[in-house]
Amino acid sequence: MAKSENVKQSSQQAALYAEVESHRGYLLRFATAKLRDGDQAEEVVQEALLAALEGVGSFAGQSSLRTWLTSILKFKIIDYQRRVISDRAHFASAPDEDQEDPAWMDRMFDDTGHWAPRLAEWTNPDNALQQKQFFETFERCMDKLPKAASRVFFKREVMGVDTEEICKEESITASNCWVMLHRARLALRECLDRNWFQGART
Amino acid sequence: MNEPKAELSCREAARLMSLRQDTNLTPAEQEDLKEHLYQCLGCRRFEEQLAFLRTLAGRYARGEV
Repeated sequence: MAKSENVKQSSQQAALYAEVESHRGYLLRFATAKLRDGDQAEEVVQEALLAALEGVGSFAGQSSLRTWLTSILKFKIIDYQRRVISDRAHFASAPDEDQEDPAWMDRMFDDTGHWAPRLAEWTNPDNALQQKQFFETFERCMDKLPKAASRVFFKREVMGVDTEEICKEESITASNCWVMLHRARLALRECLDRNWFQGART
Repeated sequence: MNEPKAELSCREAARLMSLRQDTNLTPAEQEDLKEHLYQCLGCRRFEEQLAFLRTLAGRYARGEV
């Protein structure tokens, strides 16, 4: 192989490594939602990324890189769960959410249950979807949710798991799950409004 | 005899719109919600924003930015 070919190949490889690495944050959230434990999640993500870099030749580019990495991660998570399945301590159930609405929700509505203030329109939401910064804001907003709520939201909306399965995994009732999801959506909506769309309005 | 219908508050409408993303509403709930949305701009915005949140989460999952 000519020397220039070698150089070209290694710089391509470096770019690919950086590209793969840029998905680590997402993969960590994915693994944390499944495993509930940050340390375990890091371990599994590390395994998955190593496997991905080894097998990068099999990435056909038919799905997005993130989708491909996620499918590798899923296998690693199942593997991991098999290894620790006897240790049930990790899967202790989440405390049931209080059915009473929290105070921050009361502040969104007036005494008659109307929006206070009325929700403002989001201008150019499709434009926001083109911006990396917007997704970073979204991540920060998810991180601000209570842990269980963040996990349940991630499973439902990002991973697309149905509520029945989420209930089973989290050992909560369906109505509890719906309450958590609703609160998470309200909180995320407000967080995105405050940290992104409000700025675009003024 | 028709009972006078208790009008939905925005708070209740928002709960139903969120619930609708996860399970089916009863016909009565659907009807009440439809009526509320017809007359409430704030809730129509909430409906749009909820749908956007789902689109956003899907894009995020695929890592397409």
